[in-house]
Amino acid sequence: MTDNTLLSVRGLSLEVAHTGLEVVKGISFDIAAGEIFGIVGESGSGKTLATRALISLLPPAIKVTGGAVSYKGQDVLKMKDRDLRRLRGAEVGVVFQEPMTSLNPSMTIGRQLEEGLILHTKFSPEERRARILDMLKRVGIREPEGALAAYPHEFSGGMRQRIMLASVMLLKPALLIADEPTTALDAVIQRDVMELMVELTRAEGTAVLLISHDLPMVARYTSRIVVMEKGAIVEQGRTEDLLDAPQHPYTKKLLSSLPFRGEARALDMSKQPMVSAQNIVVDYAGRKSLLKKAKPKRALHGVSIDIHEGEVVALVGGSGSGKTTLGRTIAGLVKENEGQIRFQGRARDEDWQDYRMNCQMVFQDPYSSLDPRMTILALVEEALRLVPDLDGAAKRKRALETLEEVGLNADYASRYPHELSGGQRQRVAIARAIARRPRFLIADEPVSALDVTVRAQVLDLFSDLQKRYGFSCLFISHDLGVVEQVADRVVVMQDGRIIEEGDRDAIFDNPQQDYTRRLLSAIPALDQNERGGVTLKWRLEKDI
Amino acid sequence: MALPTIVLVSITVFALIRFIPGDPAALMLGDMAQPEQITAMRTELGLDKSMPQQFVIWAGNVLQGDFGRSIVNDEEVLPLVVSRFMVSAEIVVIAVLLASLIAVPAGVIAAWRQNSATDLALVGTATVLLSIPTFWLGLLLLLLFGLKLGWLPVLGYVSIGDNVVGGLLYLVLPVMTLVIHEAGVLIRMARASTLEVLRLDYITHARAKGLSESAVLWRHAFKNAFGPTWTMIGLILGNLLGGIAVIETVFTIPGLGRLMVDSIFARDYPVIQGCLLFVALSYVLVNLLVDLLYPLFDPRVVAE
Amino acid sequence: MKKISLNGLIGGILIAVLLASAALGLVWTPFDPMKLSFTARLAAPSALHLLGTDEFGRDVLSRLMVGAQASVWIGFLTVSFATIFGTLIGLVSGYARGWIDGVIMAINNALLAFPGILLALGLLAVFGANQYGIIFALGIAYTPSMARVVRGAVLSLREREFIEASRVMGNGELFTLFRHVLPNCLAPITVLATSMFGWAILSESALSFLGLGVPPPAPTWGNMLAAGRPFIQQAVWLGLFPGICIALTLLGINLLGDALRDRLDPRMRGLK
Repeated sequence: MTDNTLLSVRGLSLEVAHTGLEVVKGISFDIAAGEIFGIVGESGSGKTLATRALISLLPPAIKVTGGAVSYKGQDVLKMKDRDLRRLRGAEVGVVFQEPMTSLNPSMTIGRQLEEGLILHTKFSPEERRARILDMLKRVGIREPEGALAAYPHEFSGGMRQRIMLASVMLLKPALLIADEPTTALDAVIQRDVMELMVELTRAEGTAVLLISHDLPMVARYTSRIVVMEKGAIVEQGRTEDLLDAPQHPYTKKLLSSLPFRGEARALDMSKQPMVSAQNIVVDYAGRKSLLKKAKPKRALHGVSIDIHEGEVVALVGGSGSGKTTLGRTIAGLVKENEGQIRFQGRARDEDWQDYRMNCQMVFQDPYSSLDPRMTILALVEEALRLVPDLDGAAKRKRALETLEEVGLNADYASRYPHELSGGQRQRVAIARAIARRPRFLIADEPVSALDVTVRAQVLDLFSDLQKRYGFSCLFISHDLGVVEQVADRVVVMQDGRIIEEGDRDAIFDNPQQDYTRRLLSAIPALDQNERGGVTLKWRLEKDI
Repeated sequence: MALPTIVLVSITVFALIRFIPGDPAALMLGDMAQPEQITAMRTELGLDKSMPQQFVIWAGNVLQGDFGRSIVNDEEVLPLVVSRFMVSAEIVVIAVLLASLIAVPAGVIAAWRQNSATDLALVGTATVLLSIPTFWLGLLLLLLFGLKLGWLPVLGYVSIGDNVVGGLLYLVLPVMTLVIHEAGVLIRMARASTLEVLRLDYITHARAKGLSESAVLWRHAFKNAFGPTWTMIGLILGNLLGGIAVIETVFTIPGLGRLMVDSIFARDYPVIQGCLLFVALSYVLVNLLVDLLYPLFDPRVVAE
Repeated sequence: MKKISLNGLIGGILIAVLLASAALGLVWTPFDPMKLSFTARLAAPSALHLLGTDEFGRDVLSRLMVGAQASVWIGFLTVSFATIFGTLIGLVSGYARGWIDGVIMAINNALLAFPGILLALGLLAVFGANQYGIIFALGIAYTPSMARVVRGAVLSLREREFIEASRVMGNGELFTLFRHVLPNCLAPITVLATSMFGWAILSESALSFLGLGVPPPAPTWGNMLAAGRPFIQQAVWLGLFPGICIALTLLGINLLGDALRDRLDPRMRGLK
């Protein structure tokens, strides 16, 4: 331990009190003053609980069973409540993942920011106000004066996370714990918030403990990294070394799970498109009330898109870009107000039965897309219910075969969705969608709810199946890394319009629109080396 | 929202009374009436007109404050209903106020100390209390404090307006009965909604700021948790305004509930109709008021 | 994995005792519950009459057992009525949406605007004060609550992706409704139906207490309390035992309801 050490964790172990399950197993690391330090791990790795223990804020069900946490030489785990409260906020600030729930909805922004200052400083009311206004300005709130009297719900997710940062940094803590601070945000906003965080903490000399599942993002900002798996630290070291030459198999697996660009495919684009949507306009009705009818909100402004046989077209954009609405409109879940959708040359609405038989969908959330009261087999069999020329036995056989194809053997057939992991559920959802052998598949953020390593497996499965059955696919995603791996062609949407489209390599190597460039700046290009490591190349906005 | 409900409530009340078997005209005239007398009475009451016509006439009268007259003693319905309502409202409002003052803090503390002995004791007591039917509880209290100990008057009623001390004494037992029961309901409600809030990130964040437990609980959790409880208080208030007939029977209090029951026995249609309409409307009004005040606790809900 | 909670255990035992004594009362009671005995009027509890006798010398225990039947029977029919109609209305309303939903919910809200047992009182005036009048009056009065809860569940289920998945598969609306929506509404329906059983028993006894319920001499807990009321000073047991029966039954139902809610509420799932 050097003099420079701010926080030192030695052999910290945690367990669930009433089951005795060990969730953190003797972890040790040091954080130096002013350094940006990363913890990377998938869900269930114990990274969040471990960091909660650093300021003694564990949920009641979790008990510390061993180890020590020393902050500037004091043992945090043995501190009295009063001393702990002096430590929290003033010395160690915390920013959580969910900006939507981390601010008190019934208290004005001004009061929430002031609270910490009242508690930990002796400033006069005028001085507090001045500092708050200054900080709000620094985090990029346009009208700081107005924000003081506003409530959290009046701000977007990105703005709320800026306000959270302001609230924490106002107290100039020596350590900032940021637990997945940008995971809930759009790619473009993610990067802005991260840059802001780095800028603010650097200015104040604050050390940062950055916790995330997103290895490239953590690697981009940190000098040292800890990798956690199932409650234990499997590897730690300088960021460059760890990326370049990972030692532990799990770190290697994490790195190899990062999406990388596949070979470009040559597809026959001369035939008529499999699916063609022309000038689609969708308006969402405004809230009706007795006296006045609110103006409808236009979600899609005359959008056209073609998907050819065997082609995977990625639809990308931030939230509110209309990409999901377009997918749902093509699926027939949302009725278009104007425009036409054609399937294999015929108007879709002429033969719904044929379209339903040939167009299937995979949804984002595997926890919500499977009926919790049906077994896995019943779920897949249901997809075959309306298929003609198959008797009961043949349907069951096909369902079991399809489950086998997605890597779930017959043991899973009688289980219920809640007995399966997220990745397994998404496999079931995929099995359900392909059981009918559709010609066209719509996948709405199919892997964004999954952990990194699971995501890679599901993407591989998806590519295999696509090659085997040759279905066309509309792949909707906000994650450009994933898109780079699977797409043949990319369509970028913003504010209900298509702003750019082209072959994948063209879009990724030579984007034309600013917005596309900003999207791309959030993900790295990867070079894999023979040591199982990678080099991350960040596409800076000015470079591309 | 409230207006269509009021219209539909009025139609329901009107229709309900028309469904009651028996001919009001015949009933008013008694056993000895001649058929032509009944016909004349029907014409006088407007019963020979079509249903929609009758409704329009009735609704028009109600709007002018004319709820009709009692068949039994020819009293005007509206003043009768209002005076009886005041008696019930006095008891109910005091009881709900007291119950809230006791139960809400108790519920919040139970949630804060979830699964502790305090929590278990509070929730257990609350569950037992709300399982005791009020009329039986009233009977027991009457037996204990009135008959055995003789501390409080047993039967009858004196308005506070006439005699402050005497009036208060008559109020003690019915109010106590209601408080005990409703506190049980409210403790559980306040506990549940506080638990919901205590799980949220901003509570952890408030702790991570270094705030004390009492600041976290009362400044951050309480206000956000109070919304559902506030709605519940409104519902209880509205419910009791129409539903303390049993308490009024136990303590022989001349309230609205008792009036309603007596009118049903006497088949006094205009009074039944008046009671139903008046209570339903005040219920709608109480809930409207509750909704209008809701944004005070939760700025996300904007009053329309 | 599935542990029976303490709440569920106590509640279950209380309700089992209720059902058992009601069932036993069908075939055997210590005395004939209707038989008058002028020699045994207002007899205190003793080895002969375990819970004493009433003002007509009838055995209180026997009458309580027969009264339990009335409570269970009225509760069961009321809840069945409200559950069947409320569920149908709620399903249709929540799934159809649009003007059908608007009309149904307007009427539903109007009925919900009658507080407490007031609507039941009004309906009793229509149906007459007897056992079946009570069942219809309470059944109708509770239907809107069930309809609202089911509609709420349907509306939130509609947003779930598995309902959309069913549509994408080409399943008809009715198929989706009964295959996917209804089964997933069963949890809130069960929880509410359990509470309703308690409301029904409480309301029945309150109405009988007011003299608007099951008419004497047929015993119910409510009319036994009402009849015993003038005598409670001399014969405390007349005011005590029927009340204890009602309170314990309600306690049992409340505890059972809590246990059910804890188990069925999806938010509680996964937290273990």
